[in-house]
Order: sequence, then C-alpha cells, then structure tokens
Amino acid sequence: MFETIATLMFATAFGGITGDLRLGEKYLPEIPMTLKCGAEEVGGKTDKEGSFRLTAKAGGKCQLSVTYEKQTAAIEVVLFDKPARYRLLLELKDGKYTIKRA
Amino acid sequence: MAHQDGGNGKDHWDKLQIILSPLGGLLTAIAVASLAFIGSRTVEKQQAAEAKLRLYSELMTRREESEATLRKEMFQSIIGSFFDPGAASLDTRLLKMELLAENFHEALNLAPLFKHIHRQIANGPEATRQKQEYEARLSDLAREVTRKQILVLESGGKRKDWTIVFSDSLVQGTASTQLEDAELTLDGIKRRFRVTITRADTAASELKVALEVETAAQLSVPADAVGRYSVEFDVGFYSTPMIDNTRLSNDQRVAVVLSDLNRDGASLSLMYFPGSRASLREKPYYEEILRKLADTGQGR
Repeated sequence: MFETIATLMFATAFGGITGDLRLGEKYLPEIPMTLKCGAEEVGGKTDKEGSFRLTAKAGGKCQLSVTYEKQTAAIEVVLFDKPARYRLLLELKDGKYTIKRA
Repeated sequence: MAHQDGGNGKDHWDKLQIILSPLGGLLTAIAVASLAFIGSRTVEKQQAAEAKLRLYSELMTRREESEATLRKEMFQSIIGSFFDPGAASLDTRLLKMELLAENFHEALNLAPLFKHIHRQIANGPEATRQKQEYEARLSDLAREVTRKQILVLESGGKRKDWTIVFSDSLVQGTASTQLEDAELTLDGIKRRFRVTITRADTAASELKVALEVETAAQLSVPADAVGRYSVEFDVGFYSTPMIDNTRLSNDQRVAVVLSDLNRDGASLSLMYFPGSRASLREKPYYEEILRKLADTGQGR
C-alpha cells in the first residue's frame, strides 16, 4: 500500500528516512522531494498515499526539500544507521510554505 | 324505550354486555398470561446473558492466572540467573536479557539491568569487535522495546517528533537548544510542552533534557493542577516511555523518548498518553479513581 514510487537505492546505503507528508489533515501525493547530504543528492516523490522513502549513501546532517505549488520548503534531518520515520507537515504562513515534523 | 327486543325486555346494549363480559375476562386472562410470558422470557434472556458473561470472565480469569504463573516462573528463572555468581557467558546473558525485555518490558524497569549488561560488555575480556557487536545487540534491543511501547502509547495518546542537529556547544554542554513547543490535547485537556536540550552526550548516547509542562485553567482540570511544572532528566536508549514518564494531573503521563542518536544529531519524541497505558506497576491515585467514577456517574 505504501509502496514508494521513486526511491534511489544504493547497494551500500548508510541510512535513510521514511514517513509521510501532509498539509493539515490531507496527505500529499506525488510531491517531489530532495534529500541533500553533502555533495550527494537523492531525488524522490511521495507515493499516491503521501508516503515516502529516501535512502542515501552519506549519513549525518542532511537537508530535505519539498517542492509544493512552485515553492520549496526545507528541513534539516539527521540520517542514522537505521531509517528514521519523519511525519512531515507543510504549513502555509504569510503566503510561504514551511515544513516541520508533526 | 324505542328498541325493546320482543318479550325479553333486553336491548342491544344488554346483549352486548352479556357477550362481552366473558370476553373481557378472557382478554384480561390473555393479557396477564402474555405479560407473564414476556416477563419470564426477559428474565431468561437476562440470566442467559449473565451466565455467558460469568463464563467469559471465568475463562479470562483462568487464562490470566495460568499466564501469570507461567510468566512468574519464567521471570524467576531468568532474573535468578543474572545474580548467579557462576553466570554464563556474555552471549548467554544477552540472550536472557532479550527474553526478559521482550516479555516483561511493560511491567519492569529494565534500565538498571540494561546498564549492568552495558558495563559488563565494557569491562569484559572480549575483543573490541565482539564488544561492539554485543553493544549493538543491546542497543537494538532497547530501541525495539521503545518502538513497541511507542506504538502502544501512540494508539491512545498524542505524539510530537523533533530532529536535533548537534552543535559543538551542545555537545560540550555550554549552550542549550530549545525545541519548538508542542501544544497537544488529550481527552479534552490541552497542555503546552517545552523541551530544552541542555547537553548531548554522544559517547553515552544520552541527552540531558528539561521539560516544561503548562496546563491552562480548563473545565476538567483541578485548580491545583493549573500552572507550569518543570522537570529535568537524562534520556537514553534504555529509558522506556511506559516506565520512565512524568505523572500529570487527570491520570495522564508524558514521556520523552530518544529514538536515535549519532554524532550529528538525534531523533526525539514526546509521548502524551493516558495513565491506563502506562506500565502495569503504575497505579492511579485513589482521588483520581474516585474522580473518574464520579465523572462516569455524571455521564450517565
């Protein structure tokens, strides 16, 4: 059900993040996401249920960006040895989207 | 005098009375018999339902008793072996720890035992690589227990997650990081939670946390429970939310859980849940039980 639509997998992956993205109570499908860890960039999309899974070779501090309605909101994340769950919430404030963990 | 009937001197009404008098009696008898029948059927149904309930509770009690006996024997056998001077290898002790944690994590504070095994691994004669494997196994076990407890607590409570990116000053303990406030409502009680990380100990995989809870004046909150309350504690992988939590008014609890930690940062969650989901060893205060009973009575 929560099948990932676009995930860039590496054979020797360090870790990654899984979770879902919503705006209020509505889960957002097919939303482009980018996970940037140092020089490495991993692209993906939320699936039709609004869930995602992104895996990167590099670990530690990374930045996760979400593109929604021609705006990009970003949040700092940390990659661990095991995938961490991020329930992400998009919020519109003064015409600008921000993203945070629910 | 219009409707005289022949020589009998009885009108239609008299005839009707003659016919209806026994019929009335018959109808009364039928009504009484029906009432008695319906009444006895209702009583029978009620008795059958009560018998089913009794049987169900008896079966449940017996099952609970046999499970409790089995768990008691299992617990005594495992815990006893930890204090046996001729104890088995570290590998066997870890296996016992796994058995204990998987089966009794809701009833026991296993943190002292986790820390004890952690020290035994650190001080043991094993090679560094072996020690790392044991340490990873222990840490995975603790996180698995926490994950299970979070799932249970989340189903009846509220949750807020944060990512903490460590700075040098946070690791050194010279600066603190205040996380975004969480305003959560549980069973109609709204509270604001403020979490501040005052130190990140990456070597011990622990965070020093200051938690502030603010409860505004609300209908169901006793006057003496309104206000701010703060507490400081360390949270690590061995801190499990069902056991290591802070008691709030109205038989509610709050726990801060460390889900992950490495040298770059940590993943932290706040669980706000009803006391009924807390560990089996935790009991509500008598006044809280009485208040709940009073609330149930009013709700009827």
